[in-house]
Amino acid sequence: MTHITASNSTTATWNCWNDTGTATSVIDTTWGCWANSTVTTTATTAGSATTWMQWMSDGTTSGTYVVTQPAQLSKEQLAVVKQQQAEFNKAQAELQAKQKHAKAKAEQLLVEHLTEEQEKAWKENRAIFVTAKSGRRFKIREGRAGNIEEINAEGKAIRSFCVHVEPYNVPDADNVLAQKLALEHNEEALLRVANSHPITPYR
Amino acid sequence: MTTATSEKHEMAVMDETGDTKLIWNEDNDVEVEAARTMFNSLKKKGYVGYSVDKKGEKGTLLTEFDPAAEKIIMAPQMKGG
Repeated sequence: MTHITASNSTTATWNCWNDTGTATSVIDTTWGCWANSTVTTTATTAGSATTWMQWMSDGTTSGTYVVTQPAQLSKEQLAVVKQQQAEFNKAQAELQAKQKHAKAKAEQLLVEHLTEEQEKAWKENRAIFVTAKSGRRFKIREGRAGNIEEINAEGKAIRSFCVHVEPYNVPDADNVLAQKLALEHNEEALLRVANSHPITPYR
Repeated sequence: MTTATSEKHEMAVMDETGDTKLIWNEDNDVEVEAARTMFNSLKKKGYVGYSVDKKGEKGTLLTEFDPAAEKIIMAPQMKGG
């Protein structure tokens, strides 16, 4: 395969894939090698020994390909499969309904404990601003982790914090409320366990 | 003579269902004790309790159960991500 240079259209990626660089031979290209047993034969005449054929065969080079047909299920077996599928679908639907309900409950709990200003910001941008007792100001975005940023006096994010409630299956809105309460009333403890990273101007 | 009040206090425990609420009446010793037991049990699991008002304006970190708290939110422990 040739190295790509900008001076020759035949050295483009596709051409390299499909070419040895000489552009005079088909069979020793990358594709040709994939489809051939040797570089001296063509894909059409040496099929049983090609990489592709070996890939598909049962390990022999006889050119016999084993394609196992799916077994025909009896009526009873089909009924069992259908039953299992129905139970799975039902369980999935119940789980989704529970998660939806939990999400709505958590959202309500969060909104109930936001100030008017925070509630407005949450409804508009799914984010709230919190001022800690230390005077530091934080932005909490909807999410699970890496969703807290410290905001400087100019309103720019200068540091991000990655910290979340454990266990992980608590809805995100609960997580946001826990982060808000911790920043407002338990700032030191929260920031002690958080992983923090400075935010560069490029971000 | 103690006059019974009908004021209900509430503890919201964050969990996978959103939250689970426990109600107590400050004048009912059994309910207060049940709430205190729940609070202490959750604290042992790493939960943090906050006494809050319903406007989100005020809040206090609770080191121990306060039966007079209007509402308590129990948040699971925090972990660095």
